[in-house]
Amino acid sequence: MKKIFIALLSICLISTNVISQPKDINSMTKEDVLNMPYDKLLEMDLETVMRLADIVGVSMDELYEMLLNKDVSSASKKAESSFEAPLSTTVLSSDEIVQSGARNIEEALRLVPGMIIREKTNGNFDIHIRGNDNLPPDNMFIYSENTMSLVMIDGRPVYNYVNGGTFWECLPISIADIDRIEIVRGAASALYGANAATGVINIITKRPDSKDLSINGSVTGGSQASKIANINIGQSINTKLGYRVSANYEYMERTTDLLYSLKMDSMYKVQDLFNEMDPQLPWIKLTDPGDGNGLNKYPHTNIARDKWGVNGGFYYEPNGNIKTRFNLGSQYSDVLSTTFGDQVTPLSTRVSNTSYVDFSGEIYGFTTQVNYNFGYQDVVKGDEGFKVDMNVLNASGEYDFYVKGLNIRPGVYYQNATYDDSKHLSTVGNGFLNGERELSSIGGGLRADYMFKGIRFIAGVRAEKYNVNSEIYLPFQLISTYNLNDKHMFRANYSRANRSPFLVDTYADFNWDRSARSYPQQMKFTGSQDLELAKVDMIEVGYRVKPHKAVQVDIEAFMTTTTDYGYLSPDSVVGNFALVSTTNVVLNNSYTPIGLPPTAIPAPAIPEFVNMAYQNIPLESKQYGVTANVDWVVNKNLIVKAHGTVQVTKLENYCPLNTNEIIEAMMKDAGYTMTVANMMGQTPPNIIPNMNNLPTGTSTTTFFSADNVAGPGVTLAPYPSMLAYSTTRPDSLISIEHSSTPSFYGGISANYTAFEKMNIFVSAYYYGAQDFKNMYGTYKIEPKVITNIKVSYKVWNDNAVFLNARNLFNDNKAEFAWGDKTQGTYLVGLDIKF
Amino acid sequence: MKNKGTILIIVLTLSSLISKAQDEKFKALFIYNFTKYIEWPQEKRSGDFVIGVYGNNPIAKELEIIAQKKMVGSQKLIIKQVDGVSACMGCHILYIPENKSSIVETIMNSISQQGIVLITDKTGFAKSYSGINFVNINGKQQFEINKKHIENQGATVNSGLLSLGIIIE
Repeated sequence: MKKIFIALLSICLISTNVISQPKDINSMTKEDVLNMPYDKLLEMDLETVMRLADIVGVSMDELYEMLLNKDVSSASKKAESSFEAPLSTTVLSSDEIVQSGARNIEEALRLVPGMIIREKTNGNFDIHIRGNDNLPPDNMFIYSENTMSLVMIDGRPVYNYVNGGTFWECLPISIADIDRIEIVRGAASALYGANAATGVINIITKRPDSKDLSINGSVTGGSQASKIANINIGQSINTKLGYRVSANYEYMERTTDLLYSLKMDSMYKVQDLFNEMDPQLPWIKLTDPGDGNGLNKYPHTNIARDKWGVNGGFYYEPNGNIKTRFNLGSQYSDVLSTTFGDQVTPLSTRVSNTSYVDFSGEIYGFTTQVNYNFGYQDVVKGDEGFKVDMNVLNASGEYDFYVKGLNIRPGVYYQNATYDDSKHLSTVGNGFLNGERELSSIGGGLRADYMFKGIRFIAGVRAEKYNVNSEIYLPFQLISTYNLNDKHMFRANYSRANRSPFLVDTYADFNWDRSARSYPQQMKFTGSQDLELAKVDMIEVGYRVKPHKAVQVDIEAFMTTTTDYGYLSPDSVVGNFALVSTTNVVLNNSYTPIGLPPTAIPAPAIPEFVNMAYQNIPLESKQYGVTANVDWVVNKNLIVKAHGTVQVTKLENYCPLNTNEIIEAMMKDAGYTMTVANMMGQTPPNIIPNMNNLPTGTSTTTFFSADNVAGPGVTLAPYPSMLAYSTTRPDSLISIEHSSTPSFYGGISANYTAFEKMNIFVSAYYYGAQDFKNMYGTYKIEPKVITNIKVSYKVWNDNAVFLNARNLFNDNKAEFAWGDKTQGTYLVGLDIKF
Repeated sequence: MKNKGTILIIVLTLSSLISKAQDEKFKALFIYNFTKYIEWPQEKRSGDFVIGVYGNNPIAKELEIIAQKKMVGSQKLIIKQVDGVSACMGCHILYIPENKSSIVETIMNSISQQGIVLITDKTGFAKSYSGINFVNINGKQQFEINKKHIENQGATVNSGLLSLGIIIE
C-alpha cells in the first residue's frame, strides 16, 4: 500500500512538475500565445517576442490595410496612403494589372474609376478621364482626342505637342515595366503643369530592390493574330547601385482588312476605295488623285497595332539623402487608328519612332528631373505635311522646406518643344509647320501643405509663360482634407488648370490643294500665336469611408467648367466664289449617262478657296458628376471592386454648325442663296451616272473677271466670317446637353485566388449610349458591356500558364464612332516571374 | 433569424477587435523591446521616457498597459498622444501609424537631431524616412531598420537589434 502511495505521489509530482514547466515555444499554438499574460510577455527578449509574433501571425486587418490602402505619391508629390490622398486618386498595382489580363496599359485603365475607354481598333483605345469627349463637336476626328489629360512615365510627360493628346502606342514601356499606375482625376496643373486639366496618369516603373536577379514578363498569343511579349530584368548590384532593362513587342490584327468610307457608308478594300468615284461628282474620285491606289497611306489594313520598345534604367543611391535614376529607351509603332486629318475613311496609319533619356534625382530635399525626347512621328502616313521630327526637353527642380508642421515646396519648370517637318516635305510650303517651330514655357510654382489636428490644408499655384502667348497662366489648387477618424475622410478641392499651346494650332501655314476633288479647290489652314489656352475650373468634394475594416468606399462629386476652347473653323471665304462662271468637266472615258453629259455647270456660289483658322470660341462646357468606388476584401482569397460614374455635360454658347454648314452660312450672309450642300452635294443637272461604268475625268473652273462683276478696278476682298462662333451672331449660339460622353460608365471586378496556385480574375466594363457628332455626321454608340476573364495557374513558383479572354461574349458593337467592330480576343500565354 | 444576424454581427465585430488588438499588442511589445537596444543622447537619458503615438491609435492603449508595468532603464515610461509637429519634440520614440503616413515626411524633416526615433508602419518608409518600420512579410510581423536614420537623431543602435531586423541602407 505504501509502495503504491509513493508511486502515485511520484507520478503526481512528476506530472505537476511537467505541467508547471513553461511550454517550449516551438510547440506553442496561436491560442497559447494569445493567452499569455502581459507580464510574461514583458519578461521576454525581443527575439522571443518575435518568435511568438510569428506564431500568431498578423491579422486579416493588416491584409485589409495592404490591399485597400496602397501607397500613392502623385496626389501630393510625396508618399502617402491612398486613404489620405487629398485628390481623387486610384492606384493600380502591378499584380492587379497582370492578374486582370489587360493586354496593354490602355486596357488596364478600364479597372479605374472615372475612365471612359473605347477600343477604336483592336488594341488601340480612346481614353478620357471623366469625359468632356469630342469637344468642340462638329469638326474632324482630331477633336475627339483627349488633349486635356497628362500621361507621364515616372514623371516624364509623354504628350503630343503637335496636335495635343497622347499617342498611347508611343509609350516605350509595357505592363512588365510597371510597378504601379497612379491616376489623379481632376484639374492638377498646379502640381504638374499644362495639360493636367482633367487628370493625370502617372505610370511608375519598377526599381530593382534585390541583389538577386529578378525577371518578370509574359508571352501571349491568340486570336486576331495577337502576339504580345514583354520582359523586365532588374537587379541591385550592391546597396547603392542597381539596373533594369526591358523589352516589349505587341502585334494585333484588326477584325477586318477593309476600310469604311464615310461618304459611301460602306466597307472597301483599300485599292477599291481609292478607285471609287464620287457619286455626286462622278467625274472625280472620292480620294485625292495624288494618293494613287492608297497603298502608301494604308500599306497593311489588316494590322491594327504593331509596336516594340526597349528601355534601360540605372539607379544610384549612395546614401539615404541622395537617390538618382537614369532611364533611356526607344520605341517604334505602326498603328491604324482614327485619323488626325480629313480623310475619306475614319482611320489612318500612324507611325512613330521615338527615344528618350530621363534623369531624376532627389538630393537632400531637392528634387530634379531632366528629360529629352526625340524622334519622328508620322501622324497621317502618306499625307505630306504630317510627318514631323520632334525634340522635347523638360526640366524641373523642386525643393522641400519644412517649418514645423508646414511643408513648402517651391519649384521651377522649363519646357522646350521643337518640331520640324521640313525634312519630310517635297517643297517647303506643303506642310503645316514648314520648318522648325518652337513652343517653350518657363514657370515657377509654390505649394504649401499643412496639417493640424486631422485637418490638412494644401495651397498650390504655378505661373507659366509661353513663348507664343502674351498671358501668364496661373493654375492653382486649394484643397482641404479632414480625417474625422481612421474611418472617415472628407475633402474639398477648388482647382484651375489649363492646356498648353499646340504647334499646329499656333503655327499652321498649310495650303491644301484640292484640285480634282470636290469643292473648295483650295483650303488654307492658319494658326495663331495669340490663342487663349483652354482652361478648366473644378470644384470637387470627396468622402472616403471604411464602413467595415474590409470595405473602403470612395465617393467624389465634381463640377467643372471648361472655357477658351481652340477650334479650327472657317474664317473667311475668298470672294472669287462670286466670280465662278462655269465648271467644265472633261471625261476620260465614255459612259452612258441618263441625260446630258456634264460639259458645263453654272456654279456661281461654289467657294473656290476657304481659309480655316485656329481660333478661340465662346463655347463653355459644364460638367457635373459623381463617381463612386467600392473595394471589398471579402476574404484573403477574394477581392471585389466596383466603380461607376454618373455625369452630365452641358454646352453653352454652342454653335450647332459643322464646317460645311458654317461655309454655307457665310455664303448666305454674303447674299448667295445657293447652299454649299446644294453645290457640293448635288448631282450635276441632268446627270444620273450609270454606276456600273463610272466616269473619270477632270474638272476646271472658269471665272468671271472681277471687272465684270464689281466694276473696273474693284478688288473683291475675302468675305470674313460673321457667323457661328462670332459675337456678331449671338443668335446662333445655343445651350444643349452634350451626349458624346455616356451618362453612366463603370466597371466591376473580382480577383479570386481559388487555391494557392490558381487565380481567376473576372472583370466587366460598361458604358451607356452616346451620340458622337462630328463634321461627317452623327454616330450613335450603343451601350456595351465588355466582359473579360483570365485564369492563371502557377506551374512553377510564380510562373503561371493562363487563358485570357477579352470581350468574352464577343460583343462586336463598335465602341468608337465609325471605328472597327471590335470582337472577342482569346489568348493563351505564360506569365514569368522569378 | 434577426437574432442570429445580430449575434453574427457581434461575433464578427468582437473577433475583428480581438484580431486587431493582437497586432497592436505585439507592435507595442516590439516598441518596448526596441528601447533596450537603442541608446539615446545624453540629454535624453534623464526625466521621463516618452513614447509618442501620432493621432488616435489603439496601440497607445497597449503601450499604456506596458507603461504601468515597466520602466525604460531608470526612466519612467510615459505614453503621449501627439498631433502636430511641435507636439512631437519631447518624444524619445514617435510611432506614426499607417493611416497618418502623409505626415511622416514633414515630421522627419522637422526633427533633425532631436533624439527622436521614428517608427512607421508603411512599406518602404525605412528607406526614406524612419529608423524602424513595421512590415508584414508573408503574414508575419517583422521590422525594417535604418541605422542611419536613427543615428541622424543622435541615438545609437545596438548590433543585436540590427541582427533581428531587416537592414535598410
